[in-house]
Amino acid sequence: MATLCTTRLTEERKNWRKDHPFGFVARPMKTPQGALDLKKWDCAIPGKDKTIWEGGLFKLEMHFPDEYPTKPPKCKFVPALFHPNVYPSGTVCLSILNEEEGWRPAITIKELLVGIQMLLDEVNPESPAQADAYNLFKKDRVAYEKKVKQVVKDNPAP
Amino acid sequence: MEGNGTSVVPPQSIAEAETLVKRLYQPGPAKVVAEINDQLLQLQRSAEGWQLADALMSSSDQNVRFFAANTFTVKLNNDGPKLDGDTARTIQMRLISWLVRLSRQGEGAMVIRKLCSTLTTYFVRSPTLWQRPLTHVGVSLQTGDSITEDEANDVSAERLSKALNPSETVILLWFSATLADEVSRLDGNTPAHSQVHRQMEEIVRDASSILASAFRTPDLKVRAEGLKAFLTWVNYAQPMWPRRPEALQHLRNLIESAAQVLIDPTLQHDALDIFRDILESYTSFFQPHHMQLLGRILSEHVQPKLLQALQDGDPEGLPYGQMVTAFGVANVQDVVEQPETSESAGTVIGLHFDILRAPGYPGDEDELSVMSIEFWNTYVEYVNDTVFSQDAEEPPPSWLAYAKSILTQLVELLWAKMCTPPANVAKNWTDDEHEGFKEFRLDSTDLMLSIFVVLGKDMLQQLVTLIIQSLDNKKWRAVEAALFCLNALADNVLEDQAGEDILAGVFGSTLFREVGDFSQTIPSQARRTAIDVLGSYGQYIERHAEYLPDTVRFLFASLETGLLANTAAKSIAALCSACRSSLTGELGGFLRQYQAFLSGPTSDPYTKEKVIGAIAAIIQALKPESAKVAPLLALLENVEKDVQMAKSYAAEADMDGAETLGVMGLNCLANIGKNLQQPEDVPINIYDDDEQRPGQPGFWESEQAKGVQQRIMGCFSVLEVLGNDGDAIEAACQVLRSGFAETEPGPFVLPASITVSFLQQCSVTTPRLESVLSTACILITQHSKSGSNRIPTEVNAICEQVAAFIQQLGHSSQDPSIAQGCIDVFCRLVPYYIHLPFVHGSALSQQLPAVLNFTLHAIESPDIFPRRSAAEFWAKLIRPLSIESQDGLQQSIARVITAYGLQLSLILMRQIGGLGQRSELDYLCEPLKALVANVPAARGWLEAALFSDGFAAVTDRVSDVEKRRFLQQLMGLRGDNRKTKDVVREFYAACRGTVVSYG
Repeated sequence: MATLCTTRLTEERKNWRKDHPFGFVARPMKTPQGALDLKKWDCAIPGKDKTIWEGGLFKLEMHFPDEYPTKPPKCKFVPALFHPNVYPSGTVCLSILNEEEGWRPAITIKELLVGIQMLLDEVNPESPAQADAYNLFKKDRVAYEKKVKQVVKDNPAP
Repeated sequence: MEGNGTSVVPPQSIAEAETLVKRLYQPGPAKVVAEINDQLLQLQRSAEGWQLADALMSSSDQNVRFFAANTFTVKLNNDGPKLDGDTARTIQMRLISWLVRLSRQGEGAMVIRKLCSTLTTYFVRSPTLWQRPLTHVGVSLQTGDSITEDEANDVSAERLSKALNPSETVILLWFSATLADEVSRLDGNTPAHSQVHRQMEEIVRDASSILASAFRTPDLKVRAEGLKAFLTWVNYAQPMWPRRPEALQHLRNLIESAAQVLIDPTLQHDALDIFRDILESYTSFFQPHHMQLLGRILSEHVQPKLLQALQDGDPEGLPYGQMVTAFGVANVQDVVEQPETSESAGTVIGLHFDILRAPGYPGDEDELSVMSIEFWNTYVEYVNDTVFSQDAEEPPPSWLAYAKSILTQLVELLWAKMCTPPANVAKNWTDDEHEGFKEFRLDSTDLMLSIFVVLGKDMLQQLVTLIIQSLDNKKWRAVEAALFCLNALADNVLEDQAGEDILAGVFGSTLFREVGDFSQTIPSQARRTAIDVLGSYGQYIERHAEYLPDTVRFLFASLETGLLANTAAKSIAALCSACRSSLTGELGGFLRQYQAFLSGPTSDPYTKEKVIGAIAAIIQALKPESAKVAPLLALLENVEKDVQMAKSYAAEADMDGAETLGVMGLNCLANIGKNLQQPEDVPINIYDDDEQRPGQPGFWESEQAKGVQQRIMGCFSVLEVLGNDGDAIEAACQVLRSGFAETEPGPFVLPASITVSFLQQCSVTTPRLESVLSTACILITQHSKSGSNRIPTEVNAICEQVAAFIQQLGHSSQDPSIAQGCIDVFCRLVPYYIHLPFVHGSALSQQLPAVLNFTLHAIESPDIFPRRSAAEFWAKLIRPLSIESQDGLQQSIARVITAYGLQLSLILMRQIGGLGQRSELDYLCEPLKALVANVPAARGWLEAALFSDGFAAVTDRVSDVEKRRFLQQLMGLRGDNRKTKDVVREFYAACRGTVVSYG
């Protein structure tokens, strides 16, 4: 039976295929039997042009709970990303992904991915999620940027 | 006077009002325009608004007449429902009369359309129901005067349509469309609105009669407006009439005549847009026989136009292609299941193939290919959904074989479209065109992933054949495109054993020898994609060592080409690490190639570090251990050269040069160390190793091996010149850490004292001290595992040093990140080393009070990470030790808790009382739960804290009763995790005033 969750995700998939921002990837994963699993998506976010993240492509998994779109998906960089607002586990800390803060059911997958892309360069120092990137960002911006460029080199866009 | 707010005098007569309206449309300062606008708005809302509107309708100025119509609208919106029946009818008659009069005078579209909108507002806001607005207005238009509503009610719309001339029909179609459009935006929740919507089910009869006749007339303008009105009504019907088939039928009856416009060359584009719109957004509007009709039109009229456009490379083909796609998507079931019996299904598939066959590059001049991907995605997903929703024992659908043959053809067409353009074409492309082409390739591979689900290994075989054929013909762009597809499928191909033999076709071919032969002219994109293949099929190559030499040689050769060096280095690192055991025979060659590469222009820190690590991984696989020494020393020599160079630069005061070389040297060293680690997936069998029997000293404890360690530690001497360089310190930490995880002795398994003395050489101003502190933390953790040896002397020395840092800092806010690192070290003492600060009379025990005060204040600091670490430290300290402790230790700890308990409680309560951030509550709960569950005195401390002045200074929003209830709940939960968090969150909200009260 189609639930609200799967209906919405089918719609999201359709809309994404019709129109998605350049360089982004978003695709439901496969089940072991080979069918599509709409509740788990493989995504990739390119670094924005004219930022230190330019040239990189960062893989991210989106997991949709049964209550989606009432509840937001969980977005996790795989492998974890060096960034002040990304938890050591890779989970992204962003207000629009937080049920109690900025999440609204109308937010599309495209908006989420573009939002995360913006977060890469627009660090939110108010809610740090990992100490390594946060400390370097606060204390030694030059070293921080050097490290980000290394991360970009390790994750180049095709 | 202008500018002080009194420049616009309120008009006293109609003439003055008209002048004011005219001024509104004249250029002038924004402020004055705004004032005029305000004055006019007041007029429109005034009691005299009706008279004003009616008088201004006769103005000779079009803008004034528009304003007049707008004034009617404003009045109707404000006062409409309050009108009595007679006044309402008068207004209705005046509006129709103006429409008729102005239309006969040749009024322009702007005012006429506005009047149509005003009449719609009348329809919605009038206190009495206007039953047949279309015939009423139509008859009036036709007779040239406004007739009464009753007179109009007996007229047949069909007869009326015949009597109207084309310009009158156009006006009536505008009114009809405005009606449908504006009423669609009304919600149906109020009784008045639902009555209006009900009436629309009647009005659609008249609307459809008028439309039917409009589609029959030869007049182009009438038919064009008819199409637009038709679409507006269909858009109205979609959300409103899902359960009103009778009403909907009036619109469905029009499909046939509307579809005739698709054949008309002059209106074809408009009609295509409208039908595509409905096909995409409201597919079920069309019933099977409608679809058949559209299918026939598609085959007979759209197909030839599209084919011609494809042949001519004419961009005008786009709307025809879009129509084919929209039709195909809407009829996907038919297209998939009936391709041989349904003519239109065959046409749809054929045309989508033709689109891909047409010349041109997607993203450049070929827009249709990009668009066609959508159709194919729908097609293949329909196939997949149907096949996967079947029961396993059901036979496959009869159409599946045919669908597979279609998809096989599609793969080849996509591949051909994905071939990169020759350089002379690409160089003229704009950035957008490059992006567009890239995007098409990505979208195509996304589609191919779905096709692979259907075709499986047959598709893999198809791609491999394409690669080999293209390779034989030296068509490198074609090879590249097929390799690109192969890459996209890697994860799926590797999941399945069936792909193994097929892949041999590629990896066993001459491919990698040819791309590795840099005397051949091959587009560098082809080499790049070939490198990517080695990255994505690394697992396969691991299982097929026979292909390794060709591939790794190709990668080493690519290292020396600027554009390929980074990717090649990365692939070398991945392959050598994964296939280390199979490559030991190549080691000598690789070492020589590495030396050659080092002197070339492409060697930079990134590539050097990757490749040196790769070679180290092969060294790790050598047996016996003693065989590792010589090649390892060869690698170390390179590092030593960098170190030496760094020192020379420093001696010449070239600190940039010193930094680049020194940091690179240390990073290379760290990468060697990391790759020398025992791979995680290799089972360790110490009994098989002929050199390392339990109880006997292993090779790495021998004198010869100690020499290697000396050389490694010698590299640290670069810190003599780079002791203040953060990157160098961090790299040195990485070297130290690379040995920590090892369970057996090895070249990088250095004595713990090395880490200790490294820390001892630091001060709070050492850059990246955080790295050194976390290295110390990892050391302690590694030596707290069940099988590892304990190193109390070293840990004690670490603690003394860290306590000294803490004393120098004074307060965590002085440097939050160092503070966090320091507190983390003390956190790690539990359980095996926590006795150290309690050894009576020791230096460390003297430092303990300072450390405890520091951590307490850290809980109150504004800095997140030290605060969290400090909360964790206290929680760990309070909880009973998980191991059997030394005599008296638990009592010593208890004495400390007793001494600090009240202070800690006050700090926690003040934070939970609203001082802290909401997101921090969970962390603060940890020490709180520990207190409640383990310390009997906690109740008294918490009570004292809640009723202290210090707490009152934070919040006065909770009463004594609420505080007591909170305390009672807290104690009653005895440290239960989830419930304590809930209770704390509620109390916090009450203290902050975000909820009314607690409990």
